[in-house]
Amino acid sequence: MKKILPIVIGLLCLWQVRAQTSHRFTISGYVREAISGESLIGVNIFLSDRKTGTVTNNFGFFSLTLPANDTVNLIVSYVGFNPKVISINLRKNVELIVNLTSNTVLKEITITSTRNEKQSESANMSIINIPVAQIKNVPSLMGEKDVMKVLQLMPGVQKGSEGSSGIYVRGGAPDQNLIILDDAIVYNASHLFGFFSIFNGDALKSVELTKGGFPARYGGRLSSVLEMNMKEGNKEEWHGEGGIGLLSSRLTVEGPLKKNKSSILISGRRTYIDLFTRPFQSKGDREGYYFYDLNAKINYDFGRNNKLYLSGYFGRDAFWMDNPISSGLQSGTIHWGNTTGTLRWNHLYNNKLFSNTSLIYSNYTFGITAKTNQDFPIKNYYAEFYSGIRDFTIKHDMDFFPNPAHSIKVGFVGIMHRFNPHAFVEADTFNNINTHNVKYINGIESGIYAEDTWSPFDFLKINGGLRFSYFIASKKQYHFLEPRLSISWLLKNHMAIKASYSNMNQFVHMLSNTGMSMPTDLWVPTTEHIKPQQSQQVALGFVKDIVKPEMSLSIEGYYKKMSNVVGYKEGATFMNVVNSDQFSDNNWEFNITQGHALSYGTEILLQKKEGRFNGWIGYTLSWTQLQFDSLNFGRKFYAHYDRRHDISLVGIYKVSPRISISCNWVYGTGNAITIPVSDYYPTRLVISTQTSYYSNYKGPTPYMTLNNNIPIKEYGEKNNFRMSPYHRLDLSIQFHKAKPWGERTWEISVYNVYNHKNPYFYYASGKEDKSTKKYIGIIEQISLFPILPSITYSFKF
Amino acid sequence: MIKTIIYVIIISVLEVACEREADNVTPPEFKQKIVIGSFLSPNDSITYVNISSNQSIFGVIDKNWTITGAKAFISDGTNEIQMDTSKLGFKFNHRIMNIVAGKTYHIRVEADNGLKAEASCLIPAKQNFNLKIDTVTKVEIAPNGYSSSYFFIQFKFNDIPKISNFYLVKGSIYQYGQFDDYSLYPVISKHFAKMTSDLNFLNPMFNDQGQDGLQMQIDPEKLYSTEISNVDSVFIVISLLNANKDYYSYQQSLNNYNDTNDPLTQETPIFSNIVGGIGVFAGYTMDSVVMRIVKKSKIIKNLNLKQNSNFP
Repeated sequence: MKKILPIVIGLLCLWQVRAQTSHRFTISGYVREAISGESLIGVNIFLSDRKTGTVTNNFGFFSLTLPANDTVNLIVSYVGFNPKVISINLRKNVELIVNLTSNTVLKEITITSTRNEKQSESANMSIINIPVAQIKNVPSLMGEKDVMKVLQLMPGVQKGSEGSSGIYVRGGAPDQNLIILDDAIVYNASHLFGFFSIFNGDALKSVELTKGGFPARYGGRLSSVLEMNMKEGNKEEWHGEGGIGLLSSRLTVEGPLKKNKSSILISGRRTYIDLFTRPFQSKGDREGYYFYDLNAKINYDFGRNNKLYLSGYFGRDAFWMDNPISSGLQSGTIHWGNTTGTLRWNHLYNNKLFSNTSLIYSNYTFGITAKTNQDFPIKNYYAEFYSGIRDFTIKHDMDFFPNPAHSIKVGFVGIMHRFNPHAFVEADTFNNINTHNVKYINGIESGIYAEDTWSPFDFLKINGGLRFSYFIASKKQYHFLEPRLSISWLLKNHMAIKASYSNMNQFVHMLSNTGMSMPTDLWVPTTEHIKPQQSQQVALGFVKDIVKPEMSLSIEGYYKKMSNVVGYKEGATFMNVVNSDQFSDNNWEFNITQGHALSYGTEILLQKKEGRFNGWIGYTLSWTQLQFDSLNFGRKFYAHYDRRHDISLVGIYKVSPRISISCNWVYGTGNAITIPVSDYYPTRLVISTQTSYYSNYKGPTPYMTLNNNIPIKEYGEKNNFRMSPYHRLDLSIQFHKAKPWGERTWEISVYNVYNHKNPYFYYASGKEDKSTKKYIGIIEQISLFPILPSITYSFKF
Repeated sequence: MIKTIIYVIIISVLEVACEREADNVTPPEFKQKIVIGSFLSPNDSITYVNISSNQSIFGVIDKNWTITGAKAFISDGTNEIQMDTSKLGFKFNHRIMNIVAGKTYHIRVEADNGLKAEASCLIPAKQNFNLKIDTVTKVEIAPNGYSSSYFFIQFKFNDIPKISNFYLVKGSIYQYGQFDDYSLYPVISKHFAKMTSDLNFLNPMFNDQGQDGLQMQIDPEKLYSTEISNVDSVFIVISLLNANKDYYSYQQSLNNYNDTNDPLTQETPIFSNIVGGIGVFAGYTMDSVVMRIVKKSKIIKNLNLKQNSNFP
């Protein structure tokens, strides 16, 4: 120890002397959109040699510490914006506000919002950035622009079934995706039984999906992190945009509350099927459906060091039906929705240390109600089943930029969950029933992390980190250390080889049925009996940035092992859980089984994010297998969403400033499903009793008999059959026109252009052959969406 | 009503759907297999082996597939005998091939068209489970002062440590006395007729995972009224099957079986341990306990508690 101490002191002195003699100064500041004042995320800021640089964080802040120099040429670049070169005399710390102007030919402002950092220069891998403007140009079902559906077109991301907005990332189930909107967790991202997602593209600023190589700041889910940030609102002048479609209409308004200081954004959307169909429904049975969502954000800039943001989301889906009965009415509703609220405070301690503190509320509820009101005989019946999850979260993140070689992030998060896996309330005046079975389960989830993006050499970038995760519920505690590592080795000609490892744990689980993204999916906690889901993922990739035309090519292979993944037991359904006859506090736990999953594959993505012609080609080759001790008799089986080949082609072409066309074509191997292969009569062992005259005195004698009079279907192995391949072509054409008040766009789109009958599900059935009068066993196919044209009118002012 | 709402929603979604015969996939090809159903137990004197064929469900269904020219053999690893034919397949007498607890047996069935099926099963070892039944009486007094007397049943046994055990429990209450026989007209009263009501166990199939070597208590859910009239005697009979794992898996899959086209429910394949065929060839031992609780219309607790192992 006596020998080591002088060496340590000596090294510290040396470091101090070096620091003093090198005279390093810090350039820090914010990058904003010039007209609106909207902060820009992921803007690339680098010196002219491109070897030294940084990117803006989620709030548009950057910090770059460099040796003193008379002239430093700083290049600020961002997709969709004109790059800016700033010459700085670096003899002192410099604080900047960089305003970038859009390079779009249109007058209006479009925050295309994507990171312009070359993929080969980033330490991370397995990250997908899609410009929001590009999302708005991709053809969509019924003209409803949908972030989730666009993500499904990316390699490694798959849809569950036709039309569904749920995503399956690298063989992970939908509950393994951490979906966050302005730091708030969104538990159900679906409208209309999964056909549309809840995210309104007009309110979004950025969309980023991480599939692997997770930085330590992310935790709590196994398979992906989908981080979305809402726009802040124009700080300079009032603007708006909206659209009228066949299914819904939307309107977004944004503007300054106090010029350059404070702004507000409000964005809403609602469907009107129920309003249009109501006049045409008979006076008898009536039913209807609607959904709406509302995004709002307000911010206040207290100066360079403090900024405050308050944002929220509120959305609801409701399906209702009324059924008149003699002297009364029976009615029922099913409703679900999310509510989120986020209060964020940005604080700049100094020009190298940025912090954000968030207080977050998130609530997801799902309910079914049934009511009967009858005058004669007097009968009032009310039943309600509901479930949900409510979170209160505190989160603190600090970004420290000591020098260009290090970018350090540390922070913690604490989430107070309140789960309500099921609650049942029943009141029946006629039968004198009054049931109130409501029980909440509280859980605390927390995490503390530290990560550093380190560039020891120009050609090497490492993102290493450690996260400590902790969860307590039902008096059972779990804690894990989660190491994370991503390495990027830059080769010549903008090529890089990347590798990553991540260890993840998940403490909240969703019980889902068959991948239909139904609101009946239940969120349940880790308990003494239900273990946390865990995963380990390694990935290896190659990236090539092509300079002209500006494109990127990435090829990644991944191998992911997951344990304690959850599923319903064989034969169990949501119905078992809600069945009031069997209702008990832990009914849901009896219906859960846990097992293992293995997923591996290769993903190829060739992407062009800007230019007159842009789009991407994605291909995924993957395998996903599951193994549960209590499913398929413990044998491995392919997941329902296992997809050997998945191809997507997306192209957007600006024919002229007034016309743009886009198309996408998707192809995917059919889902794995279970189809019966034959019928047979299984033998059952039945206990009988033998009774004799003496039974009255001795009791009956039990014995076993065989019985085989009930036929059943032979299914063979679980998910033994492949649906036919899924493929579809969508086209869209947009006509833009500048108006004195702004711009209007007519969009005509056609979903499933060649009317391919994609299977939704199959079942075994039969028919009689008319000529031979013989019975023929067949497979029936249910398809959802034929060719569907739609027209949408959009405007901006 | 809640289920109705959910189904209405599903139907509403599917209303917009198009249904047609799938011409883009080939139905699974039918392969004829021998279906075997047999359960070996040292408790029995004769073992029956049900043999049948599976049936095609796709394509033209114009014939009933049968197994012809079948021969069946049973072996204990040392000796192999050919079984006799029976009404539903084959049988053998335990005097010719004794079924012993703790031993493994092999079955082999051959039939025309090259059909073959075989399987093995291990008979669980003979154990003393020390079965016990208790009745506990509960008296409830209504606000009007009337009291009602009920009893509930407790069933206990000792798990055998250090081995995996798979259990099935089945129980009934048998009443003997003078009952009206409504199957006849005019209705007549029958003396010493039997009335049976099954005991409802919440979880009649279970294993000893996490409870190895412990005393296990499995209680029927229901309360039974002590007001039993017109009976000469009432018995509680509970049987405990100690099954091998294959039988447990098979029975569990039959219990979970669902063949509806409900898209909310996962399909439930039936367990099979037959190589080259389908069905089950499994083993078990059975122990029963009989308790007489009523004699001449009076409750008599624990009148006749006995463990009836290897019931004749």
